[in-house]
Amino acid sequence: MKDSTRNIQGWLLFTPAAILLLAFTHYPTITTFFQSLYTNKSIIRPRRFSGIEAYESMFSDPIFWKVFVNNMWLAVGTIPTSIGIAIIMALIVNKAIPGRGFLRMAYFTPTMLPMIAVANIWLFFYAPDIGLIDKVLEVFGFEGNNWLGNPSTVLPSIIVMTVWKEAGLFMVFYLAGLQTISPELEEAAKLEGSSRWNYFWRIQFPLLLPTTLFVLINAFLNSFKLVDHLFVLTKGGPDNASNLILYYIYETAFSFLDISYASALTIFLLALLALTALAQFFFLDRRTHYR
Amino acid sequence: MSAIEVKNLSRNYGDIDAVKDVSFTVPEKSFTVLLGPSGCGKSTILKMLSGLEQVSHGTINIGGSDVTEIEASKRGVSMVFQSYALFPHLNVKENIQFGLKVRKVPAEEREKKVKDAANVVGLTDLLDRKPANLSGGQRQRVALARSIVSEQSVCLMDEPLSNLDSKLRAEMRDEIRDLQKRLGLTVVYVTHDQVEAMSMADQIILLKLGEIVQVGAPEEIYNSPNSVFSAQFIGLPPMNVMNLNDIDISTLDSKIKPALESSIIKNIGIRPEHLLFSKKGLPVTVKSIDYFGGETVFKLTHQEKDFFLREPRQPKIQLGDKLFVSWNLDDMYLFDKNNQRLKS
Repeated sequence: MKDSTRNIQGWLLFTPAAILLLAFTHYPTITTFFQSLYTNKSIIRPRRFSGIEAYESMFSDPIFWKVFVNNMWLAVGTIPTSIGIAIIMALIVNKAIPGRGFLRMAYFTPTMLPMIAVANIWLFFYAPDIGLIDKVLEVFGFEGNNWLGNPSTVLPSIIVMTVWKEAGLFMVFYLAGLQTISPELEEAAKLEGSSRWNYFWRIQFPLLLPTTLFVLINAFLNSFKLVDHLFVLTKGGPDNASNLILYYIYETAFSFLDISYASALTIFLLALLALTALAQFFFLDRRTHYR
Repeated sequence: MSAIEVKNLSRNYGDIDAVKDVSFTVPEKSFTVLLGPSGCGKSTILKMLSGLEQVSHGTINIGGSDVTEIEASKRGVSMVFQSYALFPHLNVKENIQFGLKVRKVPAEEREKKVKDAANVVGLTDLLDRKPANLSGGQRQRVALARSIVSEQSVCLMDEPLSNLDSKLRAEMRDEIRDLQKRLGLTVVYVTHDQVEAMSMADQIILLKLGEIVQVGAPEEIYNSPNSVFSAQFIGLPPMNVMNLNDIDISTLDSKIKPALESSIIKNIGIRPEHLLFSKKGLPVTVKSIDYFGGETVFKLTHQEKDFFLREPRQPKIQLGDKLFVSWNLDDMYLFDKNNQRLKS
């Protein structure tokens, strides 16, 4: 086959995917960017070019900073904990113990549930006085708390739920990582007198580093992408104490109908996630070469 | 004195007996090979010796003390694994000194020991490399160095050469044997390769289906196998074992015929190098000729049964030739109906 025919064939094969990508990913991204540079159109005022005004108001918007900091706290609160729990669960279900299959499924169940369903379950846990947590506390003589209604406990409550939801997914990655480690390594270490603890820190954990990096990036992305539960639990309240960037974008665009500002927020979030994805690209590729 | 003493050792997984009532001793500073086809339980025995596998019944005695219930790291054994079991994220030096670090050996002493061990196996220039950047033979050396540095008197090896190409395998065979002699190690070596067993062992323990078939020095097993299994497992090509019903006895030499009169004889065995082309005897047809340079192996058929003949010279014989073979009475092995050897 001639080179030119091969090229044409290649492009033809590429076209359907390219059209979908351009129409539903790249084109909306670019329009969003342009929308952020213009003011909103209304009946009395036409759209006009405003440059970076929307971005300026974003950086001076206290609510934006609040949701951004909330989001960072969510990341800090969920990522190390869920990774730690995921590793422990993976180590447990990697062993030949009776009921292993059941345990694996049990650990993975929260991940399979839709976020909305999870939120409904936890809504019951967190309900003041009649909720599961308050009921248990009552038994031990502690006072109840309106977990989701109190600005100082609402974000931690969301964090706990997110950890519960995410750890199972990360466990699957760690389990896959553990299973690539030859059991002979453990036997060799055992013969040398290495304790379980020593073996974990000197051998297993370093060998799981590529998995950890992958999970780390994914967990970070998820902490910005997962907001379904806010619709059920708090709607970002009270007083934006549990509001997150993506939910704030949704509110701005569809409740406050400020498309221009929502576009600016979207571009900010996009840039943040793109940077993270790039970091993933460079770090992960470099770290995994020894496999 | 024996370094290892195994008594009535068994291992069963549910209903399956992997190792059945095995007893043997390994003399100190000797090279003992556990030999057998796959599934004969040789690796299971090795793992039980190391403490990585539980013992169902029986006792294991290493260096004069009963270690049956003692954990792996306290038995005074080191091990070389089939896949080498090197830690992929650690360089050669860290791999070698892993155990020393676990045992909290001071840095200075550690340094010296690693240097010595690396020197012994010829790895001095490669200490900073990661296992992925080493050849198969070099990885094998790292595994050996790790075993040497532990300074245990007993070294267990689980098919350590099976992942190497044949030239390297021959080299490493000599090296391991040499190392064992120089360091005065007691080695228990598992393999399914009879060439390795024959060339390295002081003592071969031949296993089949979890049981010991024969124990002895290589030449002992080769020259006086106690069963058809021993006779055929060792030697390449294997011993020709022929059912008396399949051969035309009337054609045999008058010196051999009387020896076959007893009714308990079921099979006879002759090594390929003991079969001779001759003027009269068993009529055969040449089926294939494999020329190896130093020797030629003929595949012959007699009444549709195949057997091998090995010749150091290169006789002018062609495919399809009809010839006669005979053998000396002393070179013939006799087996009964249970495939056990009959002493003549």
